[in-house]
Amino acid sequence: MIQELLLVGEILGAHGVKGELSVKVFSDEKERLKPGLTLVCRSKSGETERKIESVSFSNKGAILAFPGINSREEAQKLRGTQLFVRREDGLPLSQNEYYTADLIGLNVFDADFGELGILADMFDTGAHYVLVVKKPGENDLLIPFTKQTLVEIDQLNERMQVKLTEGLFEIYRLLDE
Amino acid sequence: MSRSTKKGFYVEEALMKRIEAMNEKNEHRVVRTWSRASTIFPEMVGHTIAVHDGRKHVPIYITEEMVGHKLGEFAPTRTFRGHATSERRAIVR
Repeated sequence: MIQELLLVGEILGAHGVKGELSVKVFSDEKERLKPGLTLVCRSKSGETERKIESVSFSNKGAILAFPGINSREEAQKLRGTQLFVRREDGLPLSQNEYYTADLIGLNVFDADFGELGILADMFDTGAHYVLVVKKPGENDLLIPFTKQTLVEIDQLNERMQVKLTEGLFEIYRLLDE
Repeated sequence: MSRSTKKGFYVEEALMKRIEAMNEKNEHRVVRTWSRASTIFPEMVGHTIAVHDGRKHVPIYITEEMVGHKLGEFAPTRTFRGHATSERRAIVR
């Protein structure tokens, strides 16, 4: 599912007394936020667009300033707000690279085993990403996200075709039953 | 203190036997192992080894760059999954 908004951070609270905000960054690149970048701020009260005025980085994350927020009280009200970038402002993708947000939710199929379930999660092992495929009433199926197993990703039809290595399906869906 | 060089690299005997047997037959079946301390040998390249992370087996496709490392290095025992919509990129390796 192609996502129009990509989550880059969340406001943890106020920093100092001049309206600066402490932000936890969720992006691949920790120094992702730059002055001038437009963020979509989503809170319980709705969505607003704000441009970053200034940014600095600490061990905990980033410290942001938005125009018009000049006091600690105003900054504190934004606590819990999620910060998104529009897709066109997202980090560039190289060949064979995908946003995990676009892949999560796809239906996963294999030529031999048919529909395997829905891609619920992905995590990095250091070697490669691993797909977590869930199906109601069945055990989670873990699939390495490698050229050997991936056949095709069809984002328009929300479908991913894989070719499971021999013995992989049995480990998760047959042996544990 | 590091392991004595006289002993060579550690690898679980049963795991190595299964890999060698598959190499003889030119077979590529997923192998399950609980032996996180086993060193990755060149014979394992091209195989998928499901390494136990304490809860489940994580399938790891072995490549040349991984030789000399331990299997456990590639099956994290603690994972922070993050947010589904976050700006993370995954490359097909």
